[in-house]
Parts: sequence; C-alpha cells; structure tokens
Amino acid sequence: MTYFLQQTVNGISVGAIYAMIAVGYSMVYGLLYLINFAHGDLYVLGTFVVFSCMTVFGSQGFFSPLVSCLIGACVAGFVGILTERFAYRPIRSGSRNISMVSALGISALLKTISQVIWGPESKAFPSFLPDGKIMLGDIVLYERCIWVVAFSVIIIAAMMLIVRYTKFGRGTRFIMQDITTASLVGVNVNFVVPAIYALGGFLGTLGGVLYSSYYSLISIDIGILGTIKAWAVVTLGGPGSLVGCLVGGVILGWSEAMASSYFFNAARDAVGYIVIIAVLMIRPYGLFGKAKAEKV
Amino acid sequence: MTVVNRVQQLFQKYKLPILIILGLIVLALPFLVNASMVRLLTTVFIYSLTALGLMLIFGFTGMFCTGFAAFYGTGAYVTAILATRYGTNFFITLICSGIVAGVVGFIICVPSLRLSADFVGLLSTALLNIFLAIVRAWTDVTNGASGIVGIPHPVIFGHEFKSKEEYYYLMLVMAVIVYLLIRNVLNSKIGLCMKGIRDNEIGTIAVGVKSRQMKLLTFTLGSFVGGVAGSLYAYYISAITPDNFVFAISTTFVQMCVIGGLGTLSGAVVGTVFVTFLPEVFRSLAVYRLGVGGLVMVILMVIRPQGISGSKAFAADFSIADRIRQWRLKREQKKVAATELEV
Repeated sequence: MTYFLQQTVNGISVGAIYAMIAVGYSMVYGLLYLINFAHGDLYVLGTFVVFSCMTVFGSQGFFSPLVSCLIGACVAGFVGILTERFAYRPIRSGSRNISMVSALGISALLKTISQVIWGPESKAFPSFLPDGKIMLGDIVLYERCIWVVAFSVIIIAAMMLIVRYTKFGRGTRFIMQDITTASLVGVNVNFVVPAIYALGGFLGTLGGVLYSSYYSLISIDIGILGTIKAWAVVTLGGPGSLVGCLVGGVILGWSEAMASSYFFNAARDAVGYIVIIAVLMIRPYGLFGKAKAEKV
Repeated sequence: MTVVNRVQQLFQKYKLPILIILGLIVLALPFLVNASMVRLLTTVFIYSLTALGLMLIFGFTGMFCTGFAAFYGTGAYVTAILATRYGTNFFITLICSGIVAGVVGFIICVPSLRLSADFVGLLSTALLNIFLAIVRAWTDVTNGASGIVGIPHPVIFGHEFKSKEEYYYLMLVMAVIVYLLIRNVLNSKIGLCMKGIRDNEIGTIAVGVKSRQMKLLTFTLGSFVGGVAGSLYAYYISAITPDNFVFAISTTFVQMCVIGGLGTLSGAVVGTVFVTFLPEVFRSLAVYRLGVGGLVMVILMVIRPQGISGSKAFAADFSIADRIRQWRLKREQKKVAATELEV
C-alpha cells in the first residue's frame, strides 16, 4: 500500500508536468484543430534559452531563475508568433493536413536551430526547485513534487480565469466555435490567433523548464516526446478544455508510473496509451470535450 | 496557370512516350549513378510502397494515421522471424507479412470508426507505441532492443538476390506491381466508393455507400501494403531493430503523402521522391540540412498547399500563388483601364 501511494505521488507530479506542457498545446489545438507537431521543439528551444540564461545569471536564489524563465518563455512566445505568421496563417483556410505538414517542417527547423546552438548531446539542467523531503508516514514527499503540482494548478487556474472572464478569452472561445463567424462579428482573429500561439510557446516553455529541472536533464530529443505526450493528454482530456488538460495529464502520468513500477519499464508507454484507448472508446471526444457538429 | 499545371498538361498530352522514356531511364539508372545513389533509389521504391499504403488510408478515407510505422514494422518483424527461424520462401513470407499487418490494421480500424480524424491519429500513434513496447519487451521472439540480424537474401525461382543492383530491380518490380494493383482497385467500383469518401463522405453515405465497410476495407488494404513494404525493407537491410520504426518515421510517411498530394496515387510516389531526396540535396550543409529541408517543406506547403501533384480541391482558398495571381490580374486591369482612359 505504501509503495502504491508512493508511486501515486510520483505519478501525479509527472502528470502535472505533462499537463503544464499540454496547456499551450490544448489552447492552440482547440482553437484551429491543428495538430501542432512543432510544439515540442518550440518549448525545447525556450527551455534551452532558459538554460543559457541560468548559466549566465546563476541558478541560485529566487530572482535569477524567475528572470531566466521569463526570458526563455518570451523568446518561445515570439517564435510562436513568427511561425504562426509565416507558416500557418497563409494556409489557415485550407485543409488541416497542410498546416500539419508545415508544422512538421517548422519542427525540423526549430530542432536544427537548437542543435546548432546548443549541440545534440543532453546536458545537465540546473535544478532550482528546492531539494527537501517531507515524510508522511512511510511516504516520501519531495518538495519539488509539491512545487511542480502547485505551479501547474496555479497556471492552469489562471488560464481558466483568463479564458472565462476577459474579452480576449471570450474571443478565443468564439474562435474555437467558428472562426468565420467570429471574424464577422468583430473578433480580431489575426490578433487572437497569434496571441494564442505565443501563449502556447510561453506556457510550453514553463512546462519544459519544470520537466527539465524535475529530471535535471535537457536535450533536443525531449521535443518529440513532449509533442506526443501533449497530444495524448489533450486528446484524453478533450481539445480546448483546460480542466481536461490537468485531469488528462494526471491520469497519463499516474498510469505510466503504475505501469513502470508494477510491470516493467518498457510497458510505460504502452499502458499509458492503452488507458487512452479505453477512455476514447467510452468518450470519443475526450473526457471534457464536446462533440463537434459536422458541417455538410 | 502555374508552371506545375502546365507540366501536368504536357504530361497528359504525351503520356505514353514520356512514360516509356522515364521507364527506360529508371531501368538504366543502376549503370549510370554511383552506389550510394542506387541504395537511395532502392529505399525510395520501398518507401513509395508505404506511402501508397498510407495514401489509401489517409488520402482516400481521410483517416489520419500517424502510426503507420506500426504496420510497416509488423511486416518487417514477421519477415525477419519467418526468414531467420523457419527459412520460408520469399513469396510466402511476403504474403504472410502483409496478412499479419492487414489483420492488425483491421483490428485497429474497428475502434477507429467511432472516432473523428484526430483521435484516429492518436489511436494509431498509441498502436505504434504499444507495438514498440511489445517488440522491445518480448525478447524471446523479437530479440528486444538489439533487433534481429542476419535476415537471408531473398531467393526467387532459385535465384538469390545479393548485389545492390539486383535489389534495385527487385524493389522496382515490386513497387510497379503494387502501384498497378492499387490503381486497378481505385478504378473499380470499390475504388469509386473510396474516391467518393475522399471527396464528400456524407454525400457518399447518402447515395447508399456503406462508408464504414469501405473504410475497413481501405484501412486493411493500406496496412497490407504497409506490411509488404516492411517485409521488403527487412529483406533489403537484413538487420532490423525497433529504432527503425519510431514515430519520426511515421511522420515522414505522412509528410510524403501530404507533400505529394493527398488523394492521388502518383502523389505518393512524387512525395516519396521529394522527401527522400531533400536531405540528400542539402547533404553539403551537414547539421543544417534537416532545418533547411523543413524550411523548404514549409515554403512548398505555403506556395502549393494541395501537394505537388494534388488536385485543386485540396488547396486552401488563398494560397500565396493565388494571391500573386490576383495581384497580377488587378495590375493588368489597371493598365487596361489606364490605356482606355488615354484613348
């Protein structure tokens, strides 16, 4: 029982990181239903910028990691705007498959940029999360786990408030329903969509920083992994739903932790996906997703 | 009228001579180019088979299959196991690989019918990951992460295919046979239904086509072709590991289909050639070559969204080419108006 609870704690904190990475993806995905294969490489680029900033400013204390994170996230957000402007907007009215392939192209481009600047090998990421432990009976509760979960929940709650109560959020929700009608009644589509892409890069980088400092590791290969995980989490929770993101992330992280501790390590990916398939069989649009009416 | 359309028109006009000349060039190529190029062309033939299979699934029924490497890998592993352990005949192995991959495709397609396109994509990605986990963990049969080595050369009617030229012709013949078979399927009544689903699924259901059965059939056929391609690949490289069938390979297949043009068979071949040769063209750029390839891909999609040989039906409303055309049209009109005023 202790082992189970311990694994549950670990799984939930990994799930919170997945949720954090997936928030930006979910917003972008819910907006235009573009399977954004560039998301992973975008946040890896941002995380590498954070890494560089931290080697310059130092990773101790409270202030310098915060500034580094903000710089990295803003860089990723800016790159997000650029890719939206030059790779996605010209083909927005076409089939989604087209933007998907240009996203794959952008993914290769961003990956190459990261590889040229920071090299292909994986590096140790300075962990700025506190290293302490709390004992709850027999269960070890790492402080970094608490920080990661708290941070994800706060960010996702903030995003929910923004989407629910601001004018920008209203525009976003409208575009999610119908982009043409939204532009007809005066939602500034060409402001909201780039802003969401920027937000995707920004939040993705924060998630990437959490991931990297949780595992104390950064490499260009975590990009593709992050893309697939984010896609899985969003599909599990339902596209565009932020609660779904959190719940989906936690379910995925928990089932992966269970699989690797009770079966063997290679089963980790498979069991996570089996859970997703099972959920999709019962709810074809994800846990919190709404069925999208098909236009004839 | 863009350049590509003009080329297409010319091709339609002189179809037979062009095809004969192209065929002769392809037949003579192994004697004209160097060894690495022959190897590259052989992989092009194998990959064009996978692209054809994926084109059936993705291009014709619109089921977004990002896990196609699972079928490809299934075919390759079935071949590797049969050929190394039981030494079965080439053709039997080929058909078995195709059938096993087809059965896997059928099983995965049944739940997919309930889901919309994106969720099918995730489902097939899930299949790919489950496949990889099984292959990595089931060491008794698949030899785990180290893979299966020493797959024997294919022997057809007593002739053993050893040299790279022989492989080249073998893959060429297989690719042509499969291409012609799929083309015949598409020209049949079933193919008409498939094309109907491609163009307008709801309309096709309305005129009495059983869309679900059609999708099942297409998916099974596509994964069968994928399995055959995997089998040929295993014979060709003679040693396979799970790393040959990762997600990145799957997305490459998707790229081939979309760049070639969804919903066209020739698009699968054209896209394969394009995607396979793109990194080779930029080989001198070393580390930059993937990024430059990606950039070319983005530019290509922006300029020609329907793919290289795709039809206009899949294009965006306002591609850049369209916009430039409109701009030129407006300028012409202004000129005409100006001259009329002068007169």
